[in-house]
Amino acid sequence: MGHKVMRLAVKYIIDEAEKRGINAKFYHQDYFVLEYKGHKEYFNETLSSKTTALGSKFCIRKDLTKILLAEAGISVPSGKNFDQKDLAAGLESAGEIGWPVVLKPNMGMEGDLVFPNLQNEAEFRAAWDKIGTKYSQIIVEKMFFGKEYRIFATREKALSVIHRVPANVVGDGNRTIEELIDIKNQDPRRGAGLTPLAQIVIDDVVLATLKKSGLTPDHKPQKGEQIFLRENSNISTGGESIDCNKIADPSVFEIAQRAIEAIPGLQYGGVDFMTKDITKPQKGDGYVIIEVNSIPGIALHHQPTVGEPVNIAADIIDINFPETIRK
Amino acid sequence: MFENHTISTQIILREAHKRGIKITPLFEGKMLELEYKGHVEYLFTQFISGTTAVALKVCDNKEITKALLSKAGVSVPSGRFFGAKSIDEALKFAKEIGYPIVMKPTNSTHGNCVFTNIASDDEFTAAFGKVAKQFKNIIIEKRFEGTEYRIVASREKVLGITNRVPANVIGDGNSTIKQLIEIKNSDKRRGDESYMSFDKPLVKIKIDEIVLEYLRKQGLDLQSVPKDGEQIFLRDNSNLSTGGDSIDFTDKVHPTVKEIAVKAIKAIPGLAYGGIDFMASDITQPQSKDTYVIIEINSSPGIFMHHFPYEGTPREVAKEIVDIAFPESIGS
Repeated sequence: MGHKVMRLAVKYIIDEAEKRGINAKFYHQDYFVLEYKGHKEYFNETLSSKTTALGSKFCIRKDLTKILLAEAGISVPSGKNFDQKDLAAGLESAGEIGWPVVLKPNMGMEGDLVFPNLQNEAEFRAAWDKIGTKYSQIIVEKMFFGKEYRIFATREKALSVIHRVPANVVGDGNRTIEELIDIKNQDPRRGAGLTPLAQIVIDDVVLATLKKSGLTPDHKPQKGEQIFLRENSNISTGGESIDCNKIADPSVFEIAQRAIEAIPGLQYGGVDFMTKDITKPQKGDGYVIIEVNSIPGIALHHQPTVGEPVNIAADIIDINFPETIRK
Repeated sequence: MFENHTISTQIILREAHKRGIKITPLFEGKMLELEYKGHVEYLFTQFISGTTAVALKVCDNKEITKALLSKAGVSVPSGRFFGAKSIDEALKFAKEIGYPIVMKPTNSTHGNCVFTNIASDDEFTAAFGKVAKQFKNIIIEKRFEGTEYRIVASREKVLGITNRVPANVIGDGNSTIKQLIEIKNSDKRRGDESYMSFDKPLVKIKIDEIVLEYLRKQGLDLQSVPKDGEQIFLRDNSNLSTGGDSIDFTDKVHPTVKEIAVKAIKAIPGLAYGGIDFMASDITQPQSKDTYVIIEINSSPGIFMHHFPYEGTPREVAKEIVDIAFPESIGS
């Protein structure tokens, strides 16, 4: 179509649209319009004109997301939002909530400056300073220990549950961590261009994470031993995605759907869900929803590292162009 | 009622209340629910129900706004955007288009880090350093010489046009600048605070270092006596919060201005209404591609200035906005 598609999510949506005879036209970078027999819908990546401005604002401001979810009876981490000038009040609330805590910007995107598992005042102050130079509001909340999942859901139902795993290597008893990373990076899915996984880069964060466990890149893990290289599980920093649709308890799907429904004006989104055990019925403090993304990535559902693909783009097109649903 | 909300939000709430629309504050008043015979809309910071998320993102990014306006045949300042690290390239471009230029981040709000009159390489370098510290992408564009107007328009029509004029006094041939300021400040509509209220929709002019310096630059001081009818500006910025005047222009503009304003709103997919920053050399004349530019569009514009102008006819913008959100409540 004469336009360089920059993101895999956009490619999936356009491929699905064109399959149905819906015409796609880009008007700026990741902004495009789909048209079917005079019916137009505008998109920015996976966000469409079906979601209102208010719907996306509620997701961008995590304090509001949490209020809306809590009102709907969904578990969220206890905590509060502070002006970055109010370090003293923030610290006091950490004491009330109980250590360890998480600090993050109220309006940050894509995991920017999220500091999990802060154990004490010194770590808290250091993290606060870093966030404060860039953001005016900071959230202090209780650290939840569990596994991280990303769930794509609409107002009607949840469609795919993916476990996100931080960049890692598994030992073979012979190779060093650095060699294992090199091998992993040769996977064509971690190649250049529009691929579902990213290269693992040994940077300061990886070195610091290894150091915490007393390791260096020269270390040789034992056979079968899994070594995590980062704390964050973003795909963009080498993380992996594991399909959990067959093992997740039905309550997981139900809660994710209710979370989307709790946000006025949001048609669909990506729910960040943490739980101690995804296979059990979810209740009380056994799980939390951390946030809801109004422009969710969908490549991790379409091409999970492990498991069956789910065609989320088809559901996005169904919602925007119900007249093209094949009966 | 609802004093903790902005004055522009309060005007909308007052209009909604008048029509029997039920207002319920949610979550410590952070958000308001408006309900009329089962139809619910939400109000948050400003009225944005009816506007889509994509429209909001477009307006937040000046680069995309400009691309869409330009495609719709609306004039925008010629310019380009640069990464925060590309100072050499940006400087080369500034020289190409020629000083004075405007520099601003692609995604700032409330005029943060906007430099409207950069006239030399030195000023350029200093300003670029400041913007680059906070923002990733920077727009360099040609400065358009003209007067700036704020136009609020929907996809159908223009709702109000205001010219904001920096704090100023007009001479009577006898009084000093200081006396003229005192006379202007004795207007009951001007309050002491830097924010506006229904009783005090305008703000008193404060004599501070900036005003003294601004006078000094013009070879004047507080004791100077301006001629009869001579207008003396006291500040560079046209903010109403520092004593500026709001002048209604809704009926004074040439009809082509209103056509362009509606065309601009319609160029942004999913935008129900917006505040357009419009610059023209003469707004009363027919506009053609070189006589005006649209600088940006605000997706949640303040509307207070249109309701309480310093000079001219008040415009009931809130009424039109409630009409858009609750068309079934028209006339009730």
